[in-house]
Amino acid sequence: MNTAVEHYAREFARVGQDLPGAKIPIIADYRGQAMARFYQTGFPSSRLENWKYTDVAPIARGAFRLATAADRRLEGDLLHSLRFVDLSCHELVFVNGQYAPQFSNTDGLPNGASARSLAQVLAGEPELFHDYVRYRPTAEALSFDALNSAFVSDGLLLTLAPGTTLEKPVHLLFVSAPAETALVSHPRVIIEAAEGCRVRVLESYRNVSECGNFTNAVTEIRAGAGSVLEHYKILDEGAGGYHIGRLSISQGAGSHVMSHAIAFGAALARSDIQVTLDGEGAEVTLNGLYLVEGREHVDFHTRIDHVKPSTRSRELYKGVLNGAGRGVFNGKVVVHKGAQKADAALSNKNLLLSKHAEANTKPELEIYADDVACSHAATVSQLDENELYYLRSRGIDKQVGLALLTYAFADEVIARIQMEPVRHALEQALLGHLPDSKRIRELM
Amino acid sequence: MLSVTNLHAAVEGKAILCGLDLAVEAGEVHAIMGPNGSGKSTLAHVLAGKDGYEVTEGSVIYRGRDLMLMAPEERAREGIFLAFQYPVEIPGVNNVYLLKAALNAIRKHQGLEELDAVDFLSLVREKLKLVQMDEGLLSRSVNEGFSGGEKKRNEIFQMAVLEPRLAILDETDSGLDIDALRIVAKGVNLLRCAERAIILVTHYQRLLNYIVPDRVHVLFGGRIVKSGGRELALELEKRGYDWVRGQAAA
Repeated sequence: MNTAVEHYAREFARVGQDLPGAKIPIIADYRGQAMARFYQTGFPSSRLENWKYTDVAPIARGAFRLATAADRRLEGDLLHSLRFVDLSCHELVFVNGQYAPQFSNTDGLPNGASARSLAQVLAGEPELFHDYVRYRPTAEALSFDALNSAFVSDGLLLTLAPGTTLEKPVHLLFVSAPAETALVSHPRVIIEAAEGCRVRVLESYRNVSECGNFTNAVTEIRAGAGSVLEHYKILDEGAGGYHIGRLSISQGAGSHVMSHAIAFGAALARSDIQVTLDGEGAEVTLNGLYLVEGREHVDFHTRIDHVKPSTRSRELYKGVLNGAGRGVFNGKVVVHKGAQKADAALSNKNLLLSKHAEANTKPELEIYADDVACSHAATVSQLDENELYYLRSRGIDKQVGLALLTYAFADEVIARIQMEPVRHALEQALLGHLPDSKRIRELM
Repeated sequence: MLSVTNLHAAVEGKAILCGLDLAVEAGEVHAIMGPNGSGKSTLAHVLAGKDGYEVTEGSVIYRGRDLMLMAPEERAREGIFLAFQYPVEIPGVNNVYLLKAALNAIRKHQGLEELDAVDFLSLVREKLKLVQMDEGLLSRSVNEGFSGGEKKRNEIFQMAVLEPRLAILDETDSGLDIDALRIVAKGVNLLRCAERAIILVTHYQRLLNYIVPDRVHVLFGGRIVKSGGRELALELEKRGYDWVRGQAAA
């Protein structure tokens, strides 16, 4: 077995007994089996079609130390800068994957809603954890998934009883904070929304460390029949952070889910987003935006399974690729045999800003039903010369014009966000990633 | 104000303008007419500074300076405005933002104080009336989803706000119905003044019934082959461009 895998096996041996619920057989078994799966599969090779453009060697090579409760140190001022100003929300802060109650606020959750740290659940209500993970489909050969399960120690379990409405959104702020060495954390988020619930959940992954931490996150969401759920995944791992994440959403009949995934860059980030439309009339919208510069690498793999009839999906992912950055998009839509009248539209658009930037895009449709409406499109292009000329002919600087057009391209995704404080913060963050942003700000 | 001498220009290696001469003074309205492919739009874009329009010979002097050395945005700030034949749609860029940025870039360049939001808005409202444009169009993306007539009106509206020294209208009349044509012409006429020069590039005489030019030039084969007063346009209308073709061949 190679040394990269051995490293995790050693870490497992070193800290396994200290993880929450380690003495509880069902939890210990769960972890042990996962470790065995990981030991067997190892890290994915770029020979695999699914990993063709993303080489995880930098992660496999890294001797990350597993973050523990002792790594929950964070400056309060720093934390404040990572929050959404003006967003009234229930906020749970995780520092290096560990729940930090001193920074969190879950007061005022309505009856029927429960938010518990996963560490607490693992140690105190192991059967509950086991109930929620037991029925999940095991995706084929997901190494990082197995790794997350093997080391699962904290995160969130959010449960909503039938008909529960959360007026305020729930913000899960995952901060990758500095330590004496590079850390790895494996946060797990489980959201169980029973039928007729309404909830908005934001997950932010922010790296403020120079160490090049690695976050290996898994989020699993079940949206019951008729529920309305909005989910955000905001990734800002900086030029040094590593992120692997899987988001799985299973939807019941007539449910509506809107997912926004915004990635502002990372040394290496890979996000798998999997949606199963498992009830008649379920609808999902996936919005995504990724920005890379320098030598950053961001990869989104999305998959939507239309399992039941009259299901509907809409997907728009856009990429802005600068420097020698690379963006990878793979969007798959599968319409199963029983999913008559399915309606799917998938679009991926990439904007190349430099000659060294690269975009790899692959939209895929697999259709096994005969009465469906499906479309897909992918583009890789540069800024439109005519648009730039038009702006310049009105007195706008070339550089400002370029930035303005780039902003407009990217903002199509962010403009769809309805929560004003979030949209505003993300638009500001977007501007922060563009040249000449000060002058564009003046125009806004 | 503008002096074009022996201008040769090529697009993608193909010579389009072949020795064009033109002199325009402040306060004048010049009409440039000609059949399709004679080089009318090329002239407009050469003056505005579009990339890929290569000047191979001759000179263009604008207010004493070599225009060809100036970037498109500098020309705009120096008071040149091109109303596009095909105004460009720019999704995501708001009309008002563009206009405010444009106006303030020009004002700053000309040593004037930048307008604040309140003054800007009242200026915009005043000019909107001029072209009878719906205020709702302002908050939309630049030209996106505008009808052909709305796009052309938006060009004239921008011109009214930016108050250029030299306005070039590239086939602004094409695709307009008679009511829209009247509105556009009225807007242009209101902008006529002693300090401003206007070049109307047009295929048809029709526009000149509403905007009466001081001079009419016929462009053919990349050169001005005939110049005259307003009556030249009427004669062209009567005789057609074959008349000019015949004369150019002779």
